[in-house]
Amino acid sequence: MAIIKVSNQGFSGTKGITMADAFRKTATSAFSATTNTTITGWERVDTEFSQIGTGLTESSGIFTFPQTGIYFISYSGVFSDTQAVRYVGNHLYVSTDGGSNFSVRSYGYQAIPHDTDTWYMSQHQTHILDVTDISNFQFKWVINPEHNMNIQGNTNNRRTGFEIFRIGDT
Amino acid sequence: MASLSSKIIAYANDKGVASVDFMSDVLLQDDSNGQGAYIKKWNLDIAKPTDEQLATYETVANTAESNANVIQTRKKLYGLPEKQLENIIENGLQAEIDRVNQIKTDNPKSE
Repeated sequence: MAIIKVSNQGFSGTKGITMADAFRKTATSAFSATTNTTITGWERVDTEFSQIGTGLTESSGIFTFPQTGIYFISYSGVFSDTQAVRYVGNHLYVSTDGGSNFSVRSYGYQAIPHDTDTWYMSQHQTHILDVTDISNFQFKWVINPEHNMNIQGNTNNRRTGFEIFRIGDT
Repeated sequence: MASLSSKIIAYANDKGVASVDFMSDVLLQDDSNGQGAYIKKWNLDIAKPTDEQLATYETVANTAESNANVIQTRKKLYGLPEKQLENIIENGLQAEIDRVNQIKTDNPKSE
């Protein structure tokens, strides 16, 4: 039988996660049909969570990074509507020139099949981003529903939000 | 006030374009900076409209949006196909015709 001894000397090598952050949309709000609209109204998750390391900075829905590195982002949005829609686009836009131009780097779509009552859906996506310059790298989440639609948010629980982890050096 | 997309549809229809795909033909964007939505890309063959041109389609677009809401209301009241089928089987075709006509009368579309 093998015996593993754990000392208080700690591990050498990896230091574990040095940066983890989480944001959520604080309230449900309506988004206009067929328009790529930047999601605003974010807050850092403050229920049973405190960020690890220096977190993101957010202004008007645009996020900037605390340091260079490779980041993993896990996002999900909750939507509701009372009529059928072919699509609700939920996209990650990234800028590498300080916000002058944004390009779609991750597409997400969901649909509602029926017109009766209120239907809810959730859409999830992940993305990895190599941030080589914190002065110029930014990202934002954008919604594009076929019809006017509510995007769910709450300040006590996460409905639309994302988690981000720095998983390595650039 | 009509949405930008409704005014673009009205403008395009007026110029002979039957439908507009807002995933490819025209891309609208709102940067959530208080400036509202604007045309990010225009891929239709007809000329991109000016703001002044689009403003002239306000009334037409408002009517279209109003009628779209009426259609949604009607569809909800019609119910799912199984509900309609059940009514026909239990009460006859005329009962379903009368029910649908009453829904249309109660929820008229604008001209």
